[in-house]
Amino acid sequence: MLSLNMAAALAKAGKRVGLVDMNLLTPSLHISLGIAAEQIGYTIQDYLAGICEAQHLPIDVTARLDEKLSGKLFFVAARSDISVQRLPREAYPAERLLEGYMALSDYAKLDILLIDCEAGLTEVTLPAVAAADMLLVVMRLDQHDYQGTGVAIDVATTLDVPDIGLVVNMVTSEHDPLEVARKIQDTYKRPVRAVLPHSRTALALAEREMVVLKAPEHPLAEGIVELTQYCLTMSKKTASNSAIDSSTLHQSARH
Amino acid sequence: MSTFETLKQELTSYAFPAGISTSVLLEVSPPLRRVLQKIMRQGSMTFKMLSEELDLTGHEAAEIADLFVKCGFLKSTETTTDGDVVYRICHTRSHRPDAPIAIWRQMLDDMRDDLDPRGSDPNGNSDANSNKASSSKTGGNKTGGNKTDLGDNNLNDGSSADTGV
Repeated sequence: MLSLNMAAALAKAGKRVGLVDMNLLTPSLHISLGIAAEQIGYTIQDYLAGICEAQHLPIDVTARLDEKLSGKLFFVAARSDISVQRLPREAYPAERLLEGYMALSDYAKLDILLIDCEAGLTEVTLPAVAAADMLLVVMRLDQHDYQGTGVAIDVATTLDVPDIGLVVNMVTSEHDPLEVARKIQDTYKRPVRAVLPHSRTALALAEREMVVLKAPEHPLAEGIVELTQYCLTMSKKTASNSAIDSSTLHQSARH
Repeated sequence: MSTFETLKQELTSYAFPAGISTSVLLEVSPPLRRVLQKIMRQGSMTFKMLSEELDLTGHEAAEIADLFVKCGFLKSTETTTDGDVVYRICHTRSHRPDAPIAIWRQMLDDMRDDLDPRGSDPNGNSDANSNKASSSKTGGNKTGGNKTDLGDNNLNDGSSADTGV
């Protein structure tokens, strides 16, 4: 949900945004966008298998979010069929994927590309981390995430990802957000970009709607918008320093 | 030791005939990783850019570039219009190791042996052995073949997203 809301907030800010569902094991973003599995055309797995090219992948879903959005949101879906699950595990063409990200950015003239990866560091997530201009490691306040977050940050640091930050998601009301941010920052020695509250309202909305569009005054929406503003600021800096046309943002989202 | 000597020494210790996976970047020295990371991020790097990046003379850069290719880190794919060689990361296709399959098969064999105290067929023709023989044929990419009709899926608008292609 976080990546979709970030993408929606960026599109609302007038940007041309790409969002790739790289959670190949359990892709779900298409559901939130109201696209049934049988309605998906070519998927990222099709592209990796050489069945289609990068320009066949993006689906313009802007109108599904809000016709009045000044920007654009192009979505790249993944399929969860058993038949396509074999590909990324058995023979994962990292080169093709990295080229695909670039081709996608060029073709759709993207300002920013969000890559929503599955949790954990795999041969699927590593190339995305290595190619990213910015990494947001999304964590929750539970023991499992603490260790995984530490490893992800260590690896991203080794890979010289220019901007590594943390997003603490689904923080319940008994926690003080500022205190959470301080503790997490002290622990991982990395900046906390956002502490997002757990919200039943947002969860109820998330079935079909984007909280940043439908309830922009909600604290969760405000937190996500603030996060995207930071991303935009950084992407401008990166774009001016990088040979890559559009900035790539990797988000390791945990659902 | 100069950058040239350090890189030369390190590069000669590697051999990735099938190319590298991203995880290899975690194992190499920081100077080597920095340049490989930059090439991965940009998609490619010309010889001229490579020599500037590593701060090497033309002769040194040529030797290092050759080593990069020989070790399997880079491949030279094309040349620019002014004749500059373009290098790209030589990615391997990462394969899931067969080990887990072998482990399960071994466990099944062991269980079978445990259940049958007489041991395997005295003629040495146990089912387990024939299973093992077939396991060596597992793995490999069988995803080849393209759809012939790609249709016009270029930047679908919201309404055509329902049809996908």
